[in-house]
Amino acid sequence: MEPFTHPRHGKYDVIGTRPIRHDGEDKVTGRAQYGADIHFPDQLHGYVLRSPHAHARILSIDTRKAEAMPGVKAIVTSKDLPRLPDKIIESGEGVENQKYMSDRILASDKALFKGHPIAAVAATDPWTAEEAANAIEVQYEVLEAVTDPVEALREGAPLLFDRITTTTLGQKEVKATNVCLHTRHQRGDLAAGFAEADEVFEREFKTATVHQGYIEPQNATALARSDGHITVWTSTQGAFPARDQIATVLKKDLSKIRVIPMEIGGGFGGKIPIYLEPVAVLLSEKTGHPVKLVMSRADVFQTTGPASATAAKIKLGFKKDGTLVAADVWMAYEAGAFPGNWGATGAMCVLAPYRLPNLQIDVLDVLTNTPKVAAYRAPSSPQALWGVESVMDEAALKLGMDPIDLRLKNAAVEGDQRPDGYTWPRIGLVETLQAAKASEHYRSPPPNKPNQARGVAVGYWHNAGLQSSATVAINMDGTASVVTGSVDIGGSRASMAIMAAETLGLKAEEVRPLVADTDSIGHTDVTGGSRTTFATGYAVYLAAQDAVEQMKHRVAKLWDCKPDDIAFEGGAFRSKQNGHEPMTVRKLAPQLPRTGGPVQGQASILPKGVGAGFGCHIADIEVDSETGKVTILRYTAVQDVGTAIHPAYVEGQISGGATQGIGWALNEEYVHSDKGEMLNAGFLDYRMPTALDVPNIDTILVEVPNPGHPYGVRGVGETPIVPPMGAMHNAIARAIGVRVRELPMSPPRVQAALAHQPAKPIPA
Amino acid sequence: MVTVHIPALLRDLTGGAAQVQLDLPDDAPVTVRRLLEHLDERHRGLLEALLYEGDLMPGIAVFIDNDQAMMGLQAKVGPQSDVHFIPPVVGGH
Repeated sequence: MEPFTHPRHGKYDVIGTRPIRHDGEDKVTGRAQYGADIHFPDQLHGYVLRSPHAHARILSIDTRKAEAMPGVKAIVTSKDLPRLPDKIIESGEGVENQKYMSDRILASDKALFKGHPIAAVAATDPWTAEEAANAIEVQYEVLEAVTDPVEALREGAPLLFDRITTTTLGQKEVKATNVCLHTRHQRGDLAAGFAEADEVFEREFKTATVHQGYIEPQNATALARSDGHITVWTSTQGAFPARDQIATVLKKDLSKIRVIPMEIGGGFGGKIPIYLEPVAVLLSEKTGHPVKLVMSRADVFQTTGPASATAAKIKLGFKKDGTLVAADVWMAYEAGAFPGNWGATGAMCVLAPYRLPNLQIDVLDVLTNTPKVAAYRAPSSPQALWGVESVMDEAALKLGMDPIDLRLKNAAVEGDQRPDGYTWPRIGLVETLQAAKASEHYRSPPPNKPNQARGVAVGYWHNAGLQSSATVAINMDGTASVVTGSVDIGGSRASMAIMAAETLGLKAEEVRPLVADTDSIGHTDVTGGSRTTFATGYAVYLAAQDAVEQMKHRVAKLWDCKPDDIAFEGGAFRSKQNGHEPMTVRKLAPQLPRTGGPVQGQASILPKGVGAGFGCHIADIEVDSETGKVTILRYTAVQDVGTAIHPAYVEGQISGGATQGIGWALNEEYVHSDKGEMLNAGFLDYRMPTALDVPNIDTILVEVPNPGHPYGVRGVGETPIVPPMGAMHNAIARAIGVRVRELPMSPPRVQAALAHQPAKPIPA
Repeated sequence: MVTVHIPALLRDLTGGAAQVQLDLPDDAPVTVRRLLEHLDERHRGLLEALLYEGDLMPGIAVFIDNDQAMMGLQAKVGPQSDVHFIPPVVGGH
């Protein structure tokens, strides 16, 4: 394959540099304003009463005692929410039934998970609000709960809803079930494919529920004014999708609601759904005061959307030369307490890296008495791909092939089809695998002491486009301001400034990036799907180009020529007739007032040309044979990043994603009691990796520019969470000779596997 | 000749066929809605399965010649187009 050459690749002045982030000083000094920092003189504090039961019918709610307490200003229950129709709509993340959106905010007839909001109180201080909430008397009829998606599939399992039947593209079954969605992809002739195979592997895998673990808990402050206008300050990944959801749940006009996105302390997909915002609005409407609600860490774990627990059966067939000829995959994804479609996304990802002539993928979304799951960094892809990567590793060992060579033999390339039928455009999986194989890490001998080994695995995420808006204003001194609607989670202010600076011939420091609220910029979708640098960056590029075109007209006035006689090259306006000295934006800007006034470029777009992301990770590990603890000796993450706009932040995204994946692989899991209670709802017991657990993660940036973006950008933030589970699993298997097919591969689970260790380990 | 790729779980409506090819009248632009109506004449039930309250079912996207057609049922289909109905891309980061 010929290497792809982007026309401007390697010729950038600003792109590829590493300027200090524009918001850095405010963040390290504590001046940056987060949602919990909001304070008004007449502010009230809210507290949410939550269900102590994972599954219960709500018989009555008596608020009289609480209302009579001094300092209590208002109490709301689901009766204060408008009744919403039983209607499916596109919401902030995929699709959701309006009725369930309302029930998720405040339970009406049933509590469907422990922590399900039942009522909320506004009072003069947080302690009074909590005391009053606990004085609300709720009578429940406790029902049997089910928290495991496989258990929820069993005949006779408790049903969360009497009226939900399995929906399959509009075809509904008659019998009530916990399966809310069935997705299937099918290609070729499965039986013939397996008949052709020389080696067939059929394995089962399980993963636990895990949380995104963002540092900042959810919060919302609302002020409902007497004229009907509402302002909401919140920690969200998307001010506009948050506004859409608030308006839907409260049946309000969008123009009545202004959402101001505060700085965000992490989200990873978990801050796309709304939780507290409508409750804060209702309490503010009742009291006329601003009302602030902040979740505790236990609330975050027990009531916001984590990532699905899953179960999988994966069957792959290979020819002797390593060619994959057939795949049969069945998976069940925990949906949580309300219908969702994250399993459908898993179905798109599970075999995506590989060329396969014959396949069938069946994925079920299964209701459970747990919080409705939410997006988590490359949502559904990690659970889907690690099992496939385990089988790929087994096959490589059985066939006597290098594990990267086996993947290279089957790697999807441009023109191949993804399992759902989408035809791959230019992708960089092959280049990523080649870079991994050529890396110093992979070329060095694997660790070879007892219980040490190396594992590799690939990961995939499709990335997203969606809608974005941007303005670029030229200041009178020749600097510029960039305004977008994209919340800055991972350094996007710097990326936007870099792309605007590149387009305008300025330095990154000469461009001031700003994140606007919903009244101040055109609609912009979530900071999610690894879309911001791609899509909002594309809007910034077009807005800067718009400004350049406007400025050409101004230069034409000064030079008394036609705008078409002027080119903008190398950061300056140049006469095609060679009659004038080149003029930079800095030189032109002071003359804008006398040539027609201010210049502001703008763009609102729905871009095509999204570039998929592939990564390959290499992990060297050692297993403590006494405790089962896994120590990472060395870790390298290789990824096709398109064009690295700010390489330091790209490397940071990859390190962060790999670290989250390592936590998912080794330690993180929700532990439930038999009554459906989460038993480890805090960071002491929910074991996320710390700096002591993870070595420095080496990153190798492979740049295969995306032809669908003017600067070759691909999303980079999500792909790196996908390979770690497979890489760690394969390394552990090669170290101890046993495959641990359930996540997390925690010390007790590895210890149990060691107890069954065969006499001769799998050779490295 | 337009090629329509049938979602796996609807193939019982097409006798198991994964793809259906259609010759469309070339006297007027053809929309996805019209395409589905033509298809439904041959394979009853497809229209009902893919529509929700008169529009394309939420959670399903139509891809024409490998590009997601944001206009949905109103998107135009070319005489040689390849049409897929698949879940749209959503994200998390």
